[in-house]
Amino acid sequence: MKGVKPLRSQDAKQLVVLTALDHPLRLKAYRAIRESPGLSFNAIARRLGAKTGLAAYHLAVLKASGLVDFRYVRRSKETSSYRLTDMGELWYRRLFGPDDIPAGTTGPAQRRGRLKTDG
Amino acid sequence: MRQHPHAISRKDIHRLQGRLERRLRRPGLIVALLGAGGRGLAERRRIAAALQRRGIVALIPEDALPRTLSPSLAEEALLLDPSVSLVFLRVESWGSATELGQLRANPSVALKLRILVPPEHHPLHWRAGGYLADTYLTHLATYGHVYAVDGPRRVRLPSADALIPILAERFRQAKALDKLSNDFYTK
Repeated sequence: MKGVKPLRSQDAKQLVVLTALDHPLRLKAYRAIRESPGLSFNAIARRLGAKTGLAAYHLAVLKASGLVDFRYVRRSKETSSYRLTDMGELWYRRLFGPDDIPAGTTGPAQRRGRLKTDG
Repeated sequence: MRQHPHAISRKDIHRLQGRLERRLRRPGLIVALLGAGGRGLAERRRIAAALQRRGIVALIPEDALPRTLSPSLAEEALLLDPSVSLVFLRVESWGSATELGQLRANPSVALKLRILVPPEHHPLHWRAGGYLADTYLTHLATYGHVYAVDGPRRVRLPSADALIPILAERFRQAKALDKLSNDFYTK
């Protein structure tokens, strides 16, 4: 497109991811799925305290951004089960740090340092 | 939910997002791509990938919403949410034409609509008649954003002399029929 400088791939990806996560319900859903992989749609909607349609929309944004994926499982009836994609897992670690970092080594400065947005 | 003791908050994410947007000089954007299935779906997937390369989140309901949910419920929330800025609808079938009628009925969705139609159905680029061309003309006059795509290279281009009276007249008709529920257009 004329006059618009193309984005570097990593900048584009970062913009997509942060756009997707910059919402309280989507961030909550992302973390809930990380914590309980395979969580069903209904369980996520309950955790979000959101109506079905709204929860579906926010999960759709996470799915479209490549952070989460779902598959169909048949329990008593067919349901969808969500988990983080490899990219979603990678970004979780970039944003939140690995789970096993001891307390005290991840102060605010270190946390800020995990994700550089300044190029 | 158990929280990581040092988890960053939504405020931190918002701050990171703001910093990134300022550096890239581009705000984050979420758009929806609606249209027909089959080849239409393959095309939308290609477009979505191109948009993602530009840092834009592109939602295709058939891919992003699980089929275990009622599509109407989820799509309504998707289209009404203020964070979805644009809704592109490619009208290729009577199914998507019906969908257009439903979307136009809601002024907050109608404002976001960007309608893509074959030139032979576009009221300004073809001598088209019929229900669809009439609907497009009303939408064009009230909200704008009806585009002719993927047709023959030579299409009719209206003169300003012809175009302005057509749009003004149709806008007046829509106003008379009280079709414009958005204050912005009725003042």
